[in-house]
Amino acid sequence: MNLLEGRKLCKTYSRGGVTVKALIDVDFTLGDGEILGVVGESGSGKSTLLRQISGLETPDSGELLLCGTPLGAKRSREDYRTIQMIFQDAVGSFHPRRTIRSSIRESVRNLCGRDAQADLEALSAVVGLDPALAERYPRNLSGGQCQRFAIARAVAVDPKILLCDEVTSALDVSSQAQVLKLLSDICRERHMSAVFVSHDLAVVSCICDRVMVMYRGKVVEEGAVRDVIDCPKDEYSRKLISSVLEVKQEK
Amino acid sequence: MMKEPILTVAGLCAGYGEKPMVSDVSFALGQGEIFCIVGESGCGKSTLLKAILGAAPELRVLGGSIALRGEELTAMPEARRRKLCTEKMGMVFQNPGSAFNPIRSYKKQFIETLKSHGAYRPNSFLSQVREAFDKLGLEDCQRILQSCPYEMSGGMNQRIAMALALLLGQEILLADEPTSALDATVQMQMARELRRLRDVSGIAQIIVTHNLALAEYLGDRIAVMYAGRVVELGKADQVLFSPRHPYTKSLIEAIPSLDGKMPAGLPGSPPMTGPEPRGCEFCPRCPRAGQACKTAAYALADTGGGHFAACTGEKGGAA
Repeated sequence: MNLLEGRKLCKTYSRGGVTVKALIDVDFTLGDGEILGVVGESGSGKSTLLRQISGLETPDSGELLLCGTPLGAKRSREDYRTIQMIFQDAVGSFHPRRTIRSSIRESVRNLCGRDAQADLEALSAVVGLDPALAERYPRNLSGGQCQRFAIARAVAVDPKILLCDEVTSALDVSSQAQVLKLLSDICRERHMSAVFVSHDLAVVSCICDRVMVMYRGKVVEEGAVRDVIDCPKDEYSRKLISSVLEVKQEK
Repeated sequence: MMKEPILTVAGLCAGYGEKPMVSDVSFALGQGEIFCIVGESGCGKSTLLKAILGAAPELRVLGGSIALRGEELTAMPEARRRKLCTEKMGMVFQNPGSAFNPIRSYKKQFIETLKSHGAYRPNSFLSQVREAFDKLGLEDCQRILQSCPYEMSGGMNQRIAMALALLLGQEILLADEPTSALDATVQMQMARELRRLRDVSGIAQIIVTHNLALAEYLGDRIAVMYAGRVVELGKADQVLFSPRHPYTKSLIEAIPSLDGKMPAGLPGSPPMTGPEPRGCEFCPRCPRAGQACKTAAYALADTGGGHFAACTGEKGGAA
């Protein structure tokens, strides 16, 4: 059985008389311990899909199944704990006037019960940071450090699925490499699954098992990462692959 | 062969207080050259750009010189400097929306800017704009001019900002992370257009980026910065294919590629406090650091063929 499954998901936004179909009959599956990449340009529906899965929004139609059980419009605390989201703007994802420690502790208490304790020392070690940095405010950390604490906050509640929304696109190349390695290690060691959204196919090829290419709200291609990159079937996938800028030397 | 320099930066030190955030930076920008500055966040790339443009009043030049066509900018009265800089240099920002007022038509903003430069000619305005747009492959000049920036995509806004630089006849375009807020497909298009801009109009460019692949695609020469100093400088292929500084090597190894291999991460974070007087700043993260690196004075040494590196590492590095 798939850990997570989406069937015929549709989402439409209306603003100022303009209607945008952000998701059109999107089907997907996520296996146990699998990392699924979702690629596409801005407006293709990648982030909308994550917001439906995370419960931040409810799809207009279609259904989401977690371990075969439908996720309703009103989710339980346990559902929220099981699916954790990590955002692009790591600094903005923390309360600006609370220390990192306080934000992580609150998240753990909200989702695991009032008596639950967050072991900041162990969590900091998992993400490779000095626990003393958790005493700082988000503005006093670099983007890469904040993103690693955001991963620590997600991992702290022992989820089954991580939703990563462009988590490395605001980072520079060295922090990006650190975060990618960290996410990959955490998923393998803790047997977690992840949906990894990015507009960068090179990043997706490093970390994902399978990839789904989205264009204007629809899934245009889906398959194993190597198959899609080596033999793309869809015209748009080919365009995405050809637009990856690479340093053309043997590393 | 170095073309005639239009901008010469020598021993530049600049910072927000007494302590420099950028130190000992020297390079010359040739006519029509694309010069890329790469490095991690906080390495001083954007501060250097601001110091050259004189765009941030709180940023003080603490030493060294910036000469534009032989005229020293740092000693110039503020009003004169601003006039000269805006005449000769244009800027493309990371945030595509920040170059224009989002709710005012491009036409009004173009006319306003041209007037402030004393370059507005009502009779030839439209043909001038069309010519600039044509050079950048922008179609439907009339429709774009009537539109407001909020109606356009990020990539389109960046291209129109470039067209404005072209229209003003500026000689140097400074771009701060021009592609990092854009999608992969639009990034590629933007990179092509920056190159085309140079090819068709000879505008020299200083491009600040953390994307080494973009630097390879665009750059004639590349400077790698770390903790406020240039640690390697040379032609793009020298720096990327035969890097001499361990930091450059680490940066190259951190680039993800389509082959699916996990890029090697660079441990630790760069210092955010600017350069120290002695010792190599990269020392704590360097796999090759030796005892001498902790006390060595900064020096950008010529390793041959216009390729410079600031590494005196005992166990290798530039040696």
